[in-house]
Amino acid sequence: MTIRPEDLRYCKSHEWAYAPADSGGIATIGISAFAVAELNDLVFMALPLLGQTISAGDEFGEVESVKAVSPMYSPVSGEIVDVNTELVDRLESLNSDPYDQGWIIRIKMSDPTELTKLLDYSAYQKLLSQNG
Amino acid sequence: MKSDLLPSLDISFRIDPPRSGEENMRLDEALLEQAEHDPRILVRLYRWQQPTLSLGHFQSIDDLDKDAVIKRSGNLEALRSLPWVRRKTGGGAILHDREWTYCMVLPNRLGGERSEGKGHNDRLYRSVHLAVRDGLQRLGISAALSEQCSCAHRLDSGGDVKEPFLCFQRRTPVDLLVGENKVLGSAQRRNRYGLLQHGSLLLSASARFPSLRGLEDLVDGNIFPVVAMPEEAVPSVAFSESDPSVVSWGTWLVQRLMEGIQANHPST
Repeated sequence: MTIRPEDLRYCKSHEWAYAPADSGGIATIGISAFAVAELNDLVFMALPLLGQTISAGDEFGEVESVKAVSPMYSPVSGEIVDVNTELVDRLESLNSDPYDQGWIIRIKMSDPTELTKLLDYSAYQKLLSQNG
Repeated sequence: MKSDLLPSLDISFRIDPPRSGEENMRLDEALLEQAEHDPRILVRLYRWQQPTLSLGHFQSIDDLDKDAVIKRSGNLEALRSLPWVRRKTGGGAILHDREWTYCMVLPNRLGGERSEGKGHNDRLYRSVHLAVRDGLQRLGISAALSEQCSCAHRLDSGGDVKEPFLCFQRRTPVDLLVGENKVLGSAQRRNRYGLLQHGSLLLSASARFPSLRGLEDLVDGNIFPVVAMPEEAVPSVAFSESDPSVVSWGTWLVQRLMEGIQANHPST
């Protein structure tokens, strides 16, 4: 699987969601390259439990960089069906690949229409340029 | 309320009486949550009812027993006997004893803060810490930012070498040192509405870990700042401290925090 940033939907808080037509209603969630760059040196990531139900906008985990703890927010609602537990031991890999190998959780969406409320790539790029 | 010190910024400022660790952490967290509805910069200054360890957000108290430096120091039992709480911010454990602790929250819309960003705000760290540095230098105390990172050593070794358990034995670039002694360290935490930064200014060493020296241990003589501040610039909650040096340092720190906030908002 090759996840292209152009194919993703984004939160203003820099999480992304990938749910192609053949995903069976499952969204793959991660944080953008911009977020990884902002976080700088990642120290730790706290991940949610499998089976947990979450709503769009809820905090699903936290990430500690050298000088700050930042929450991660879910772009969509549903049940957490997969967690990338291996990522915790190789956080530095997010620097080079925050998309394919850098996915964080997968959610079985309860309302796929929530994806349409997220920013597409163009709108996300505009957000980044405005926040400069 | 407009601060008399910074009339162009709307700041809510208070000095709280000493409280338990749980209460202090609860109040810091409440301050960050307040950013959802409160557009002001929120600042509080406080102390601790008794010596207390606050652990970094992802730290384990079990790591205390694994710290070789602490074991060699002979202070392990003294530290183990302390009450401990967990902060919402990261980093190492802090032994809160003879210090002033500050907590400030900036709503996302202020200070050039990106909306709902990730990671730390280096400018806010430096604004506050450089204000304290400059204030110390005016008192004749030579201070400087660390510009080092003990985390680099940990990361370079693949995470096998652990950082010190105690925050004030670690180094990050923005830590404030007097000589080789860390006297001011801070940490940040975000939520979707704002950024919290809190930190500890060490006044003097705790009997529980005497090698972490504070300002009064590091200067000759009995130096503490004699600060005259307009009464209306300090909230109505009076200092509940009886120690004049503690009161003076607290008043002095209020001024430095205001200077740091101003430096973080140069257009105001």
